[in-house]
Amino acid sequence: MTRSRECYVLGAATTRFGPEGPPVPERAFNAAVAAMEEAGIDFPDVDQVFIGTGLGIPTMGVKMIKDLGLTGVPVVRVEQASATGAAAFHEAVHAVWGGRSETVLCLGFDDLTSIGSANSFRSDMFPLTEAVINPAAFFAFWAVRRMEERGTTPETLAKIAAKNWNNGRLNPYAERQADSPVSVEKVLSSRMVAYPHTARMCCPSTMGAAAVVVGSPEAQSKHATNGTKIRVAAGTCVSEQYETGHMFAGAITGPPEMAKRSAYTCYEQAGIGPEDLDFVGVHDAYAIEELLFMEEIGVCEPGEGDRLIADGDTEIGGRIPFSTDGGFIARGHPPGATGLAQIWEQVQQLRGTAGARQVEGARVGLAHIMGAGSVSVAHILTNA
Amino acid sequence: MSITLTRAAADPQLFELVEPDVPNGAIQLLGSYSPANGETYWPRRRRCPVTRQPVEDVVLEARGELWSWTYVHLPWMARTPGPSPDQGYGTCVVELPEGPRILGLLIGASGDWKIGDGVEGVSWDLMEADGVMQCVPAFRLVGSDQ
Repeated sequence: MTRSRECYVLGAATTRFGPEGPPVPERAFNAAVAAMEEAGIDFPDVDQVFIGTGLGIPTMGVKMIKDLGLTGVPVVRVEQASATGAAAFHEAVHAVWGGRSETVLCLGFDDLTSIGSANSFRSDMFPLTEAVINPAAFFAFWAVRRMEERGTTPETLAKIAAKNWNNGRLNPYAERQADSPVSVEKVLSSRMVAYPHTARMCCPSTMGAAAVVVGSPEAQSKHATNGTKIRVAAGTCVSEQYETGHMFAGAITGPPEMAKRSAYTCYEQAGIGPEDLDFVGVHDAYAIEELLFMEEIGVCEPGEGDRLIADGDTEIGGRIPFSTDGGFIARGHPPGATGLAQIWEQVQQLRGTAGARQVEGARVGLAHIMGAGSVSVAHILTNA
Repeated sequence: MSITLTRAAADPQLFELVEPDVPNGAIQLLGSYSPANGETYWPRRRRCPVTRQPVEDVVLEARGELWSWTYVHLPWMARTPGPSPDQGYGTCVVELPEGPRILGLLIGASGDWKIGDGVEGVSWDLMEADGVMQCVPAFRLVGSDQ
């Protein structure tokens, strides 16, 4: 799209994910208020709201906004499965880029702990044939295939997961807070979920909320006068393209290639390449995803991801850190909030406020997420 | 006294039972063929997703090669469809010779399979609903007696 102007992140907030804590509506309220406070605005300054919730009941989002104020602001709900929060952010950014909105609130929340049984899902739109293939199984198909084609080992997947668990220990908002460093052996010895993925290689089904405020250059100058300017350099949402062997039924997401297309569209928009990234958040609901997506987004050649992991390149302090906040595996994954929590982490890293998990000299970050159905959403943020 | 339930495809828009009276009986898959580009799709499409031209209904034999597999140790949405809730169950992606890849249950024990193995589709008795046994597609190694 043609941009009429830049878009900046004015404020971002997340709540700690996980079943412990207040109900989701209270968390959402708290996240929205915190993001607006950080942005230096009050709710009447918001001229557009995007609500991201994958599992929230109809009308839930707009009703929750009433707690913030009855200002008559346009409220639109966005749903893209796992990518729901990221898609809400995408819409907000494009609303600013296009000149339609000055200051936009994105509020994402979800509670995956309440997913029902097969029968509660069953309909003409959700075949039972698909219900027996759970997400852990679907991404395990990718892992088994990768092991056959590239010689990837369960130890490599465990190393990814251990890294993310240990990054989560540095993030007070991560759901999983291991009381001691998590080793590869500890990941491998956890309960098998779907071969080769053990429980510690999988994200938890969880609940949580997060919020982000974006705005025009004028809004940035007027309100967000403290701290580093965080510019949204690129953002896109792509859906599937046909390829041989395409799965129209039962596939949680389309082929990993979607991640490549979304990332390279962002590189083109931002005028940079993957070599310019300082840190990355990718969809790591299952460990194999981080491995495949790091190759798809171009930080290494196809088949070289195993070596990057073995060499520690993707750890904090390494060449290109991934999932610095713990990723889906440790931070947790309530779909409406996940994409916004990714943006929150980008903001912390780019401001230099990430504490013990800070990537030194972070200037450019990429946030990527897949959504079942399926879509791939990516954004590049920069402090430059 | 045992009651014999009628078997039916849980999702009749996706596949049909060739042998509804037989446990693990043969199935066939309901697909589409695009004369415009020669591609075959499963399940049926309203039009060719590549050329956007009309497609023809085709029935596909449920035979192919294992593209990938896994063994699942927990249920999700559906009850554990394997022989016992404690035993988990196999699932797979099968590549048909016509091109489409199909997901289904995989009969056997973990370690029985390897990528490239020839498999055939059969019905799997998943759950009863309204007096009818709802079946989903499953695959087994060609020549298996399971």
